[in-house]
Amino acid sequence: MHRYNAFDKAFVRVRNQQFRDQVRRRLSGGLTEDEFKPLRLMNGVYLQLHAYMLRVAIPYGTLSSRQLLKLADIADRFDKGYGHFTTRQNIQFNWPRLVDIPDMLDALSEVNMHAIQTSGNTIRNVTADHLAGAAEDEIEDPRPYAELIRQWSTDHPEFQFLPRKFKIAVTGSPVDRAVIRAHDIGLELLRIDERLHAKVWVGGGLGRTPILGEILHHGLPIAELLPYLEAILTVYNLRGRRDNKYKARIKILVRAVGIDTFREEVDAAFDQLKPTFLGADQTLLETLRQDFALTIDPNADESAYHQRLLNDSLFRHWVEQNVAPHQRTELAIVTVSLKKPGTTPGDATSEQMRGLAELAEQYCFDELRVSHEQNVILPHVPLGDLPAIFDGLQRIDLHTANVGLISDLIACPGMDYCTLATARSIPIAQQIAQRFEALGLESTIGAIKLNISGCINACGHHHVGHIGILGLNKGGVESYQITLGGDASEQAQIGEKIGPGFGADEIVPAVERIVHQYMAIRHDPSEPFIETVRRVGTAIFQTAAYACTGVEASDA
Amino acid sequence: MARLNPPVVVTANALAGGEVIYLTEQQAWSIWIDEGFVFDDLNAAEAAMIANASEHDVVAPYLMSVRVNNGQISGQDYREHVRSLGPTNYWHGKQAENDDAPV
Repeated sequence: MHRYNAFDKAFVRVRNQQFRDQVRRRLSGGLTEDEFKPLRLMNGVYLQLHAYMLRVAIPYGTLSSRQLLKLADIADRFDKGYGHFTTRQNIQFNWPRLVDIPDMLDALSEVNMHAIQTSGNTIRNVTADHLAGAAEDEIEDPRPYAELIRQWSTDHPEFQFLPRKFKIAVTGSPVDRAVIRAHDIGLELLRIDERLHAKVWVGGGLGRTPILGEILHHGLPIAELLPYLEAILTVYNLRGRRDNKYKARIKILVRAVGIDTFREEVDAAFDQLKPTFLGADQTLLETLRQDFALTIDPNADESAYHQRLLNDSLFRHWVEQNVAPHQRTELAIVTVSLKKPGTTPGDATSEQMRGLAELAEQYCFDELRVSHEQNVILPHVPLGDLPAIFDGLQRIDLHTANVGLISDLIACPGMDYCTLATARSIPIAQQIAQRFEALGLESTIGAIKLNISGCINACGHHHVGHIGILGLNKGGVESYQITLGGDASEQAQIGEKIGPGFGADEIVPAVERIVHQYMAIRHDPSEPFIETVRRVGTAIFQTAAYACTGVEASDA
Repeated sequence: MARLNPPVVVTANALAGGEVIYLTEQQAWSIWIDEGFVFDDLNAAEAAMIANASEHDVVAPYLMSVRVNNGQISGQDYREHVRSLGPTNYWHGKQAENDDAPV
């Protein structure tokens, strides 16, 4: 893993001192809220529905045990004993007091973490494939490149006041687990003539105007990555709209000028910028590659694993559902579900965080990941240690075997916490998970992605859920709109709205009818939900969803 | 934001702690919505908000429409109902102290 050097430590320390002074001046009346708000946002501090909220970056989703232990301590000392993992590989604390936040930031800095640029119109936390460095299908570990981008973009003087927020995601695999086409810039590392390149996608984003990114460059030599990114940001910074925040994202600019014109402008900027990059980025990149190299010597004794597989059906089921093959055959990737039916998707208590940290330290070479799907990953577990991991997860109630199933759903905080939300997400997520658990159908249904957002800002990525649910406020009443056919993978697709919204008490039965329809018409159990939707279209599901509601499908 | 219809109360967040607060009849701030002063006149409510929402103590003040039933005040909008009590997924907002859950 990458570790802060003296420069990084000094930078974060000074930034925390600045923010401590800004908070002091705000509390003493030296700063008005209008003056203070942009300063707190640049340090990840929001004012939410019930309280302040601190959003902490987990760069490219990678955490050490020590970092997770610190997050647990912060949850206990300054919050209500839990944290919420988000769809952007951040963790949010929902209840901090403003007066405590400088101390929270100092505590984070002890483990090389911070909240800088987790808000505001800047380049946000750089996200990556949560299976980076472990996935069987990986071409290149994306984390050194994500870290390079993080260092370049953090406090970059030209990009602190962009027209709007800016999100970059990186994958090193042809299988997209980082939703790269829903980002302002998506990078896919690939090899052309055995040399590393990046396919560059631009102008993706969800929110009120969902657009999938377009290809800006089919194969950028990796040595040109930073000057090319700087060229994109430079064009956006100059040309992006600042008169209307709803039209300020780069996706609107790309759509307005067209991808070809945008490319020409980026190329012109690139020609000017490239000579200013004198090689320091490449030197750093070489160091980063070494930082992230997997140099471990795992326990080779796999007998405990094979024996447990034979004797314990619960363990076997958990392995089938939550464990994936690793690029090294003696290791496995464990996805720890934070989606036990009835719980809040993405939440972990401080006790669970400590338990996970101990398991990672003991059995996973001190490393964890958080995924945009709001789960925790143990990326490098020796096969022989899987029984110990399973037992440890049982002790902290994190052994739910539902990864990739319908109860492994994504949900934003919604109106229970978020001041922007127009409806609640969490209770709907809980009800759906509990309903399908009660039906005992999850394994029969098979792979399906269900995403819920509590407003059109789409933090729950509902547009790219196979089933998407958008919570709205209709005349003071919560209403839930369904989209079908969305896809977050390399076959990315924006879902199709099927009709008028359902009430809070109607949405779960509607989802159930859609799923039953799928099971009735799929070719066979090996045809996943999304394939059936692609094959037959959405109309048949629309009819099923509105059956018994009095709404005709033709009204939808 | 829902349309503003009287009666209303003045609400904000405490600056230092962030807690949701309501302006009382004594022109102090309370964390309990039932202690909020109910204004039938929007102009009077606006004036009270301006007079009492000191930049030193509170942040993000605004008026919210309420219903009053048997002396109990609740937000007309469901959002305000949740905001006054706490989240619906955990029993650890104000409802934990008030023994009242948003439903």
